[in-house]
Amino acid sequence: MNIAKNMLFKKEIIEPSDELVKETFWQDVFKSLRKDRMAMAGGTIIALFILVAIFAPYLAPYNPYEVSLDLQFQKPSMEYWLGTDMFGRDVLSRIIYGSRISLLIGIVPSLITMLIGIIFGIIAGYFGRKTDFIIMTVSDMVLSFPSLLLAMVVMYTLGASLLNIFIALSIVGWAGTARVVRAQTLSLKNKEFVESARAIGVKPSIIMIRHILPNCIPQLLVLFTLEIPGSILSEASLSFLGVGAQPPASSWGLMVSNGKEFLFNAPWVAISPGIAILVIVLAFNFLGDGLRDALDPYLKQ
Amino acid sequence: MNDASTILEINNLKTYFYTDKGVVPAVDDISIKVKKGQIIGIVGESGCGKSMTSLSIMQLIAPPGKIAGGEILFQNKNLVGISKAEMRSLRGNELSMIFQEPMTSLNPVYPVGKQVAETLLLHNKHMKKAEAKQKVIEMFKMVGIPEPEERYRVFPHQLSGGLRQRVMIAMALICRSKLLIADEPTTALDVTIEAQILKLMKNLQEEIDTSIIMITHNLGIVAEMCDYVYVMYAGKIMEQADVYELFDHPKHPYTEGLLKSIPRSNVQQNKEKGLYSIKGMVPNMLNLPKGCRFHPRCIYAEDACREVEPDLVDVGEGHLVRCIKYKN
Amino acid sequence: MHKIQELGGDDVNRVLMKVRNVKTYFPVEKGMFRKKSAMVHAVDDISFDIYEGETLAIVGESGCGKSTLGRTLLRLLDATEGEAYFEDQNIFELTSKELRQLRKQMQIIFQDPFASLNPRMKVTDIIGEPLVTHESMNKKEKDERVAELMEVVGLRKTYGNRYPHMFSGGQRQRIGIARALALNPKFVVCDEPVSALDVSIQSQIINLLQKLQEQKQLTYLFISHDLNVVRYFSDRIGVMFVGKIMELGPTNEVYDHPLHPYTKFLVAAAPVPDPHERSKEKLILEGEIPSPINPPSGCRFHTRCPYVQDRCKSQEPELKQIEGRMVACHYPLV
Repeated sequence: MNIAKNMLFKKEIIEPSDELVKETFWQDVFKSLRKDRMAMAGGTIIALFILVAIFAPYLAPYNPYEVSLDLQFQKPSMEYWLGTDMFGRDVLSRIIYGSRISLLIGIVPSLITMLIGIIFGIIAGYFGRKTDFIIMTVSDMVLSFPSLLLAMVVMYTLGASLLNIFIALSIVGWAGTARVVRAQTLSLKNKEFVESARAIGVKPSIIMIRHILPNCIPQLLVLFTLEIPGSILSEASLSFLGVGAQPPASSWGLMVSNGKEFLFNAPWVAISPGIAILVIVLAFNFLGDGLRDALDPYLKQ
Repeated sequence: MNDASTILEINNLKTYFYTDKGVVPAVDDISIKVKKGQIIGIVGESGCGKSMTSLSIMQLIAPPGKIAGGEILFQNKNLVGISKAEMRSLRGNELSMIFQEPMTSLNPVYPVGKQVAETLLLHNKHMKKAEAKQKVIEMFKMVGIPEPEERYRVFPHQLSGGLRQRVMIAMALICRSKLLIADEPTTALDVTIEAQILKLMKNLQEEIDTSIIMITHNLGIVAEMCDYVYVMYAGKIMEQADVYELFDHPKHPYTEGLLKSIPRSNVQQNKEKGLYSIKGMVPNMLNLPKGCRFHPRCIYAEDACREVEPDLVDVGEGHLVRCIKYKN
Repeated sequence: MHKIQELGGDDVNRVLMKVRNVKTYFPVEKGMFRKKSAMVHAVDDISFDIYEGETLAIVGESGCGKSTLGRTLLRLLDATEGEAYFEDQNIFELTSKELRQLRKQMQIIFQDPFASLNPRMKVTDIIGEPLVTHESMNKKEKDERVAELMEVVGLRKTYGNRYPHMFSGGQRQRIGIARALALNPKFVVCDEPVSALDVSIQSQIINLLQKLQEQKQLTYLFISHDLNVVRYFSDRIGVMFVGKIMELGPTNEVYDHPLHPYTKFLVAAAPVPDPHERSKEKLILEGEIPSPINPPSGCRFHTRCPYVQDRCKSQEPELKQIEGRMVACHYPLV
């Protein structure tokens, strides 16, 4: 038989595996996410919610702050779809305007939380030893407080305002993110591609930004979508307890709080914003779970 | 067709995976026969379908995979479409399997001895616990586990890889299985431990007269252990022959290439020419080449190879080849 | 071609790397306060030379410390003790700035082609990263160099903007090799470079490594457990057992006439792809590999050695020159 001799110096070009997966990572994730009905429903609700928040002035049938005492406690009707509250303000309009605060409260503290958590988590995980010990001890201390209590303490100290809600929720929230990022960094740090970057002489700061952070993004995304409803709920709880948003702002939590006294005479005042909170929190949770499933093969990697 | 000495006969087995991207014919129309006391080798590279063949026999194919055709006759009984309860009573009893990584098939929260005894009790309803324990300890002794009484009580993570694989073998053989399927049983082990396990398997096979299907990518293990060998490539059997015949006179260009491309530790080798290598790479199972599956990598490929898929032809003395060069 | 005839005072071959009494220990962290209760003696007092242009293979079973040794010599891990000179610079004493400069000269190729490439980076960026890190190149120069490297390792250059998951194992290994060679290193640690690959792809990659060695005069430290590949590929071989070198010498001599009992059994254990060999009575080593946390007293191999004598249990044998190689055994198989 004739065997091709001297294989070694024959010029060879390896044909790339054209047939192999061509989709990029995100295309692939989006494709499997689209098949998840609950996640898509969640996504749709969130999209609507964002639109409502943006176009609130055009959508709200009445001025949410306009007090008219002769319209107190109107039952839901064609005129007032969700009825009116104790000051005769239209509940629907207040919910529509309230979505702005909820969205803001949902996203801004979550972003701050993420940012702080990422920075501390990566540094703790990558450098280990003393740095890790200090950062993780502080985060353990934060986590060992009941989070609502801690947020209340901060609010009492700083006074109730939107900005202070952001600060309170960020102080409470970063520790959880830092834990997740640290754990992820610890496992990535020992991956060969990080070792390879070290072997090349890439500086630690660049390794963290170029090699570790991009590989945490799937986890962070899931965490972020689940963090938002957490923030919304925390704000609602704070407002309910009277240390959150202050009247006349139309925060959903505050609306529930104000409506609770009239729960038996005029249940719609408290129930409608309650349902709004429930729906949006569920929507974010569905999307987050869907994302987690879609990213699952990548998370396991 | 079927005589008494045949323990397993697979006819035209097709195991397909129905994925979003298309149908993957992981096992594509293969026929295998295992006689009593025989060690059969199924050899091939990753993705050739060798592991899927073993999982098909054990009825462990999970969706989107499905056995799309053919029959698996184990002691003349077709396992395809058999009820789950019936399969469970066969599995671990007359038919057992050992995997590459024993850690994944042992429960980490139970002592290993108890787990082996469990298998025994499951298939022998009347056996007493003390008797089962005694039997397990005997079996541990047989598979060369030192201090079997103490080892009965330890947890999987307290054992080394080699000992864990011995426990798996004990578990597989405690019910005196008729057929043992070993899927890369030594790939995760060190060379000196691998040699121990292979020797153990061979000794046990002679003692208990179990038939073994050895699934491996390592041609050295095939040469050392098997009586008869099937070479798989991209879901199909390319060549099958007696082990001596296959290594001495490989007929399929793929087998020939594989045998030539492995360096050997027992002889000095000339480095000047480079190692022989099969060009290209394993085809994507979603987009198999037309004609012979191996033709894009074959140095003898002709026009005809690109058109028609060759049949498996008998070239005499139980040597079958799927290549256009050979005729009946 | 490079031929290493003898160890030690060889005038023909220049020593590229001198390794002296290197120890790498890891603490085993246990308990609440992470008390350092025990040490893993991964690399335990190892000395050898690496000659320019040769392939020195380090073989051994899992836990013998061969990968730790490779990483210690690249200072990816910190040595506990000892010295390692790369062209007269003690690697272990360099500042991080000096070390970064030296990294251009020494590189590593990894075992797992799926874990060694950042899945979020395009191939061009993966291969180009060493260039961006060390050389002030503009984008065009960089792209040209990357294309050139891809061609050298046998990859089509038009596929530079793809991500690693679009390639097969063998192709990924080629990407890893291109990345390691981007800065024209002198010394490359190959850590099981073909173990994760299929048989038919293995020989392609071995040929590529051999071709590159000849074209670029590379020196390889080839870490492997595959005795078949090592016999083919290496010029000299060092056999490690639980942190120590047991035997070191020219590959063919070590395989054909092992002097250390462990070498003899290790070489015999590798399954030979020839059924006619099976009639021979196989040498099988009994027992388990000892733990590197509490290595046995005396000779580390004595618990498994069939030729064990009393002296082996108490006195640790030194690595001595015997018949042109180094052997650590009181009773070598001369």
